[in-house]
Amino acid sequence: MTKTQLVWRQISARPLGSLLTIASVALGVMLVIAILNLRRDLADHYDRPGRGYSIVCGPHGSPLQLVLNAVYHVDESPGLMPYSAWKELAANESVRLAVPYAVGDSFRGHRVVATTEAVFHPAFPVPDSPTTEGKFQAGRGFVVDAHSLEHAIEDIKAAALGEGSHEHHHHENDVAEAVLGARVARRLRLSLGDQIEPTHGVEGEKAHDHAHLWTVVGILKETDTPIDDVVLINLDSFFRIPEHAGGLIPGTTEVGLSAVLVFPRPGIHKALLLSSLKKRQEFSTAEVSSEIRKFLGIIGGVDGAFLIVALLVVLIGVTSVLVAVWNTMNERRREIAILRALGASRATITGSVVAEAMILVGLGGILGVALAHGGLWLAADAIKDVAKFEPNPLRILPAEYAVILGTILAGALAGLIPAIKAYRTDVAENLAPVS
Amino acid sequence: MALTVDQLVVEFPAGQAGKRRVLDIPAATFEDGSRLCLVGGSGSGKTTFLHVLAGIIRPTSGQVRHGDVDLFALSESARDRFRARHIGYVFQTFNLLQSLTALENIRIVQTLAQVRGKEAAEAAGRMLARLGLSERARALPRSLSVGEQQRVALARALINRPKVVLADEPTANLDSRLRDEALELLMAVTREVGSTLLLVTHDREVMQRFEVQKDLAELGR
Repeated sequence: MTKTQLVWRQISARPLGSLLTIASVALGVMLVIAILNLRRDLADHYDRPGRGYSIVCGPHGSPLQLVLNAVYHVDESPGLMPYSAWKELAANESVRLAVPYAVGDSFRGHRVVATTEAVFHPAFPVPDSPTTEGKFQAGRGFVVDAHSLEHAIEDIKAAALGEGSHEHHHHENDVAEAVLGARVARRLRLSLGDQIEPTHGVEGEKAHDHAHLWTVVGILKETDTPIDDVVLINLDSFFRIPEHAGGLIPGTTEVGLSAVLVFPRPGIHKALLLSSLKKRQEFSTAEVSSEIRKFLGIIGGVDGAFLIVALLVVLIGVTSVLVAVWNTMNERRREIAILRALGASRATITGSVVAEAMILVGLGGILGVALAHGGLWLAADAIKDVAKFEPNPLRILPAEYAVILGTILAGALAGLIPAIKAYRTDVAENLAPVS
Repeated sequence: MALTVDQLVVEFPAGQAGKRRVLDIPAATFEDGSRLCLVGGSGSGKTTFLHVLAGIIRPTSGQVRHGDVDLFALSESARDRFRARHIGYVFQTFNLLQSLTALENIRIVQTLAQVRGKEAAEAAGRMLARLGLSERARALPRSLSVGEQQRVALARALINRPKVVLADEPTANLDSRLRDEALELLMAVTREVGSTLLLVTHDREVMQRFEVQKDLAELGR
């Protein structure tokens, strides 16, 4: 019989009360751990994937929306920017790489991004590889045929000016090829050579008037970033779809793009570019890292408030331990007096009461951690649907150890109050026979 | 280890700044291995005297010595340790710890006396067997009969082979058969252990079992 066993006997002698106390602590700890994990997942989702990107040019509107749309593929594109601006950016001496994006279609819930082979350039951050070939787990990238693209653009302009029909003039180099993000290929069980048929609209609400099929020619390596969920197609094929022939910037005859991702040359070029691009009237410019910092700052403020609420719930749980142990003190006065009469010191009695509170809180803490991770595991799909990021329920954050230790320490402090009462128990008075 | 008291006075607060003298014993000695029945009427201070001998209550003045040890010259924690190791206490109402089994009620005093290990566990088992409680080792006090509870209380008081056993009306709540049984056990086991036994009672049947009987009011006078 150890002193720890004695404490455990005190706890198990009141199973319902002890369970309720443990549950109240567990609830608070569960909320704290879940919030800590979700904010980490959120930061991972928006911070890590944003690394390597530099500047996004796009239609006028919120720079944050531009970044979210172009880098994270969240939400619908805010509009169009001039196609000619991409050409101009690509030719700029300060620009190492300019990647055009045209969006508006989807394939079975996955965004379709029309772009050029620039997206497979080693300077493009995802998948991270020093060579183009190293970015693929299977197959290859597509190459936009410059003539085919220019023909498609001319056709769109001509149709807009009423100089031609909506029918595309076929070019001998017309191809329709697709490269899949790793998760798209895995979830939809697609492989090289398969043919896919994107639908119009990000949610895929409307099929194209005419069947257009793209052949899967490559599958990217998994990056655990939003590009894993994207279908890339060659830009010229996008503009050949009749529905996209109306893709003109309203009020102009200018063909539009959704965004251009700009990667400056090293050194001062980024500052020079930002300075000049921000003066441009026909499109807006967003610096990726700055917008992500602002975004995480906003989110951090909100989940910080949630965290405070959750910590208050933990505090209530710990207080419930104090109340529960305190309430047992009256009925335990005799037991304490007996132990003292048998030779237990005041320190032993005080320590056992504090240990009881610590064990109750500790068990609540461990249960809370288990519930939080179990809950995240169960809710992973729902969170992915709603928040567009996937929690990692198997990861234990260092902060979780701190939460558990802090909670146990708070339990010890809560246990001190009834322990002082136990310390002061008058032995002789409480040993008197009960009539 | 002779037990001696010298100029022992215990006073309790009574009314506004007043005091009530509960004990006033000039001197008394209880020889090692002796057995004594202390008698006295209600409120005569019998229980208080045992509490003082056990170091539970500090006297207003005077000394209590267990052999060479001046009990109240020790720090409180040292006195607690001394009580755990050298004094066995049998209560009128048994005072078993309700959340512990019969065996655990015995083992806890070994723990408090820092008597641990396999030998301690075996000694507890032997003590239970000696008192016919082996089958009830894992029973909680509430499921034990009154006689069984009294035997567990005896086993608890004697497990550390104390030099002194203090018994406070240990048969007050028992019928005559259980009373006789408990007394026989108490006498026999303290004899085996070699403990000094001080038993307080106001039961004449119990008094007659002791060769030495003293009235607390006349102790040391």
